[in-house]
Amino acid sequence: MTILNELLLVAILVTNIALSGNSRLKTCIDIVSIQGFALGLLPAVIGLETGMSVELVVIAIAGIVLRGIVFPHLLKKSIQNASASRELKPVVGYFLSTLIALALIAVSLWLSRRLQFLDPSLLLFSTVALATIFTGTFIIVGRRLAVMQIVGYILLENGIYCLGLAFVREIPLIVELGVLFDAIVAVFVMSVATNKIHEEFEHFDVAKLDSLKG
Amino acid sequence: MCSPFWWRSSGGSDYERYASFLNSLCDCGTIRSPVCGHHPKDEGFLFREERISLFQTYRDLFKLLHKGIVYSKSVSWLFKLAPLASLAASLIACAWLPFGGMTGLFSFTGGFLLIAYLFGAARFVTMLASLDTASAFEGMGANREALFAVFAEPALLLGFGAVIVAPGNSSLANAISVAQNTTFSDYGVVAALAAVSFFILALAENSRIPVDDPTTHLELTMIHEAMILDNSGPDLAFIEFASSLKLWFFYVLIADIILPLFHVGLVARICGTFLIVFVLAALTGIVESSMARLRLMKVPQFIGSAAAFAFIAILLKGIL
Repeated sequence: MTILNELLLVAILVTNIALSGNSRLKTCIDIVSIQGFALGLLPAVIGLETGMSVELVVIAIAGIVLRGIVFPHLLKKSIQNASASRELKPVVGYFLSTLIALALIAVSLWLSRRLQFLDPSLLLFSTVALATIFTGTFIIVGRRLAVMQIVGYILLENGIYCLGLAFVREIPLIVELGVLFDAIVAVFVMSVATNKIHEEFEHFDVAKLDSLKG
Repeated sequence: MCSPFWWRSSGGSDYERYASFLNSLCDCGTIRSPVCGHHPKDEGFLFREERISLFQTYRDLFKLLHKGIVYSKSVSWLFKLAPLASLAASLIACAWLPFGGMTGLFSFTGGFLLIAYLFGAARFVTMLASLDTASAFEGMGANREALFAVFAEPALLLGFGAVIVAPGNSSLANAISVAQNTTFSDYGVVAALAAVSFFILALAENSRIPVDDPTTHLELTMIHEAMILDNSGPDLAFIEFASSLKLWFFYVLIADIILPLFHVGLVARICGTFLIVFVLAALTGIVESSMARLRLMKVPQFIGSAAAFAFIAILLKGIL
């Protein structure tokens, strides 16, 4: 476990908390982009430790480009002509969300300890991965705007990717790229759907979707 | 028992202890001047047109000490006591401060709790004195100060916890000597998180810009300054000196957290501490020049982020 590795993982943790306490859509997307960059760099840093290979470089570049640039770009497109620049009435308030995100980190630390890894350096890895998954799920449940739910989904996806890096260091390239492709299709479809919702209803508050129009 | 400090729990010669304490006394003003020199056209650190001398704070203190004191007819002894009491509390707190690997004047188990409460006591007497003047503005200032203190104090204790709490180790000087034996990857992330947490706290506790605007002329937007509107002359000098000691305390504390990671000699450590302190002062200046004050409702969230950083640091300490 090098210091670089740890710093990236902690950066991911900090972005989780920053996301759960932020109401501005644009800032949230920027934070997701930062998290994408940190996550994309992780395979490269692992490569520095254990010996660089072509596979790791390809995975790192694909990760950085998709998670750090493409996803945020798609999200920014979908809020471009949105009426709301921030989420005013989330299901769970922002201060409480921050506290819950902190508690989720503690819970994932406890869970990771229960897993009893042979290699102690995996503990931080799996803590960060689980915390990201939990925070993503929490954001999907705790926000009303569709864009924020996509952000939650990206977080979930990031967490799963991180968990994969923790448990299976040598994931085959084709599996890795397949997962990335899966994620990009999902995000793409969701942003298109969000755009459609916005065109149709002039908002993307999912809580209002069950009321009939016309 | 030849030493007057027989109750100490960790090493360091008496000379070092005195040196680190005297250093705090002498240097706290120089660090305060570039950050918050009182200048009529104060436009922050970056956009200031005239240079401010490093010794501006001392000049101000000297000037204030030679002025007379004006007391309102309605104030009691409490108002006269408060500036001295807050200065005394800050001085005692600085006596615990390790400097560049030298232990502070005192150090014993659990000393960090005393530091937190000393700063709390200083704040408490200042608030009482401002309520004593029965001025509406000062009461409002005290109200806001109390609100922010509620959020800042848990963050401060969590931060101390992140740096200090380890098996068999509960004094500030001990924590730093323990850290000197660790490697970068053992302690680096915890130190970084704790340093960020303490930097946010330093801005909040010393009423710097995202929390409070110290140069504002509008009483309605004042927080800390509103509480000392009625103080004048030497009393004001005591308050200013106490606040520069507090700023110095936080900066040196951050330096003490970061510096043990680099295994260097005493002279290099002392130089490094000065360097880090000046970098932090510059950072504060950049924050002040580039940001406006946060809305009052946003401030608890800002201070809460310090607590969040410290909390992550404590959690990670269990892993790393």
